[in-house]
Amino acid sequence: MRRRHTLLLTLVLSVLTTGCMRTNILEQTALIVMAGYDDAGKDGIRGLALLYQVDPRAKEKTQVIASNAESSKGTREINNFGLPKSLVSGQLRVVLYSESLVRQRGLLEMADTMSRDSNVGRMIYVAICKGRAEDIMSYRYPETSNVGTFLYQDIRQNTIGGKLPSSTLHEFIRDYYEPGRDPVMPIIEKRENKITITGLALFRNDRMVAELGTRDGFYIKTFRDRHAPMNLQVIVPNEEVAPYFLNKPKLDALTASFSTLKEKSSIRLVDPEQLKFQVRMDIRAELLEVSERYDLSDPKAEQALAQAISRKMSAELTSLLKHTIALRADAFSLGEHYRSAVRNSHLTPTKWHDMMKDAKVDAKVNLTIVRSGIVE
Amino acid sequence: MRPPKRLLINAYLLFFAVQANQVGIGVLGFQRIIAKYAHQDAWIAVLLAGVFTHIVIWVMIRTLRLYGPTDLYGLHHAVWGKWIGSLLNLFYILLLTTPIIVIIESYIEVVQTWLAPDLPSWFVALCLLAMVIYGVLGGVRVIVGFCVLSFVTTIWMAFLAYFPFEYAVWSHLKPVWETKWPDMFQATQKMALTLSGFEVLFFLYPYLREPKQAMRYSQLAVLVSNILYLIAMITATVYFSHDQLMRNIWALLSILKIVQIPFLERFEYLIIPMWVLIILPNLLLYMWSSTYGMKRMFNLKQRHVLFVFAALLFVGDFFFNTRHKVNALTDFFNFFQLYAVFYYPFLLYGVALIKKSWSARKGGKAS
Repeated sequence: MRRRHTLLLTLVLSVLTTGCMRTNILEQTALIVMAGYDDAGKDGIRGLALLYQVDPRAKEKTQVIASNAESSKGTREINNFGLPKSLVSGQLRVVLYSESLVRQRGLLEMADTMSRDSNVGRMIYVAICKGRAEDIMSYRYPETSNVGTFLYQDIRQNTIGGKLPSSTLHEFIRDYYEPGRDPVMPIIEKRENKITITGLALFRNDRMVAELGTRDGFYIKTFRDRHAPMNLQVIVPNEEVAPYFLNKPKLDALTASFSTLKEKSSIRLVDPEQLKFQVRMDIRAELLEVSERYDLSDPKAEQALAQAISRKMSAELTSLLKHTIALRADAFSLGEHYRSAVRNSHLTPTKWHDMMKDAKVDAKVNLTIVRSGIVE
Repeated sequence: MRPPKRLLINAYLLFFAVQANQVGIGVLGFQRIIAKYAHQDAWIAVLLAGVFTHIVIWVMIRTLRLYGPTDLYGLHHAVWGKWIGSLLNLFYILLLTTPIIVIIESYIEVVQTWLAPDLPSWFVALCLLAMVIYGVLGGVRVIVGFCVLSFVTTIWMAFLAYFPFEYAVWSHLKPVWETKWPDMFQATQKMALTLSGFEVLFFLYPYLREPKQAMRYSQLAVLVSNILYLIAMITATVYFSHDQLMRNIWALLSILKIVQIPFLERFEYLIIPMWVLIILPNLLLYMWSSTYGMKRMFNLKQRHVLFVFAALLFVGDFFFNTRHKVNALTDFFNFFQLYAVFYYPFLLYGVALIKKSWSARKGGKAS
């Protein structure tokens, strides 16, 4: 009998208390889909939020609000005063930081606040924008009514299927704290009335130090994260493959594009004293396009082309590595390879950035053409 | 003294009881504490501590076998005599109740930080304690049954380790064995709180229908827990960079946050409530063994002791209301747990062996 009473009590309790948790009713909340931060000079930071309205009567589905404050959380509090609905950040997908802000102030504090908030996901994308974030966010684009979701999908599909190195909030924070690795982020730009990814930002700690083209993402992504087959276009001088042209080339360089089927990449520390790294890339590729009429049925011709591409890519990879070393922005995580190979290195980000300028690399790419489409 | 036959449980159920009691709230955040001392070698510390646990279990069961079907309370009396034995029993009862408050407080903190900042602490404590009272009133068989339920409904979570592996940096594990011995020893000791829970064996032993099989099932249980801990530790090491891990209080939850399914954006909303299933066996077993101890020592009614303990714990919850206080309690508890659960069984076994051979010799002379 007593047992039945207890059971009843528990049941009653659990039914009566289901309303105890704080609720977030969709119609009464303003969902932040995208956030942006601009430099506001003396006032500190200008924080922006792109809100998505769940309101069938609303004409504009999105709304941008902005305010200045000393901290990123501060801007949010001020923003909340001007809204009929409460701000929630559970649907935040993309955060933009304006280039000038990141070059001057660094973005650790802003990213850190975000990661402290349990409401914000770890897989949101962080990106740099050229110009002011406000201009990008408040513009009405013809292609999309919600630029936040648009940009999220844009970055996402290029990260998963393309050659954009992954730059989630988690990865930014991981790379920042990692002694031998620096973050990389996409650069977003508004061109005419279109928003696109135009490059990659290289970082030292949490400061942006340089800009690369999107094409370099191919090399960086290969060494940084998991990736699907990527496409790349390589231009080789005509003389290297001259004997195999079927007619007289129209241009003085040959453009070949291929898709990687299988890639093996490795960074090995050869000499810890001299900081010599051996960087290797083995690519098995499917040839997609050659700009001239080229004799692909001849195995020798195919090999010559593969060698020419390999040589060109080796040179590109070497110069890219040297560029990052000179900038002391370790996008390739050479330092992580050093740390994991040398015992008791007690590497810290400062120590590595100091050591890094003496690093030497020997980079080689080896490309094999496996097939060339469905016709010969 | 052996409980009545209708209350006995099958030996294989010991597997669920020991395993369920080992895995608890500690799994959510132990990674940070171990990695603080052992860095990338944290998994070795987990492994060493695990092996040590196997040895402790072996010693515990050998001790129990010396005196037939009895529990720790009986053992203490038999080995140390009435006075010292009772004192030790009291101490052990206290030691069994502290985890209850540590677990409840930690869980409240998790719920408030991750799910509902405005949910009052006393309410969560009340709900948990109500369930504990309900379960303990049901007796050993109900509690062990719940352990089985808890095991089957939560073991799938181990497979969630698949998601963070997508972001894994495997070189975080290298170079292997860079840690110095003193640090490694520290890290291994810090596993005490996470690994403890198998001491419930001391109290469930007389309830086993086939006490001979206790060794097999409890070792198996510890093995499963060790594998789970190893997975959790390695996942955290490859997913986070070291300094980042140092900043994540609940590494496991931070990792599981990345799991996204179309209809459930934030996976922790599922995991944290599910965690009740994981901590409830701990609460039940600790509460049962401590109240049972009071019953055996002072001949009190277990039900009355249960209500008094629950009330005391509920009041106690009001005192531990900030993270620092909970941390202090946890550290204090970790210290005692280490000595009482991991080192003390060796002493007990030694003394019991000497005493046994001594009394055997004396008995031999008398006859």
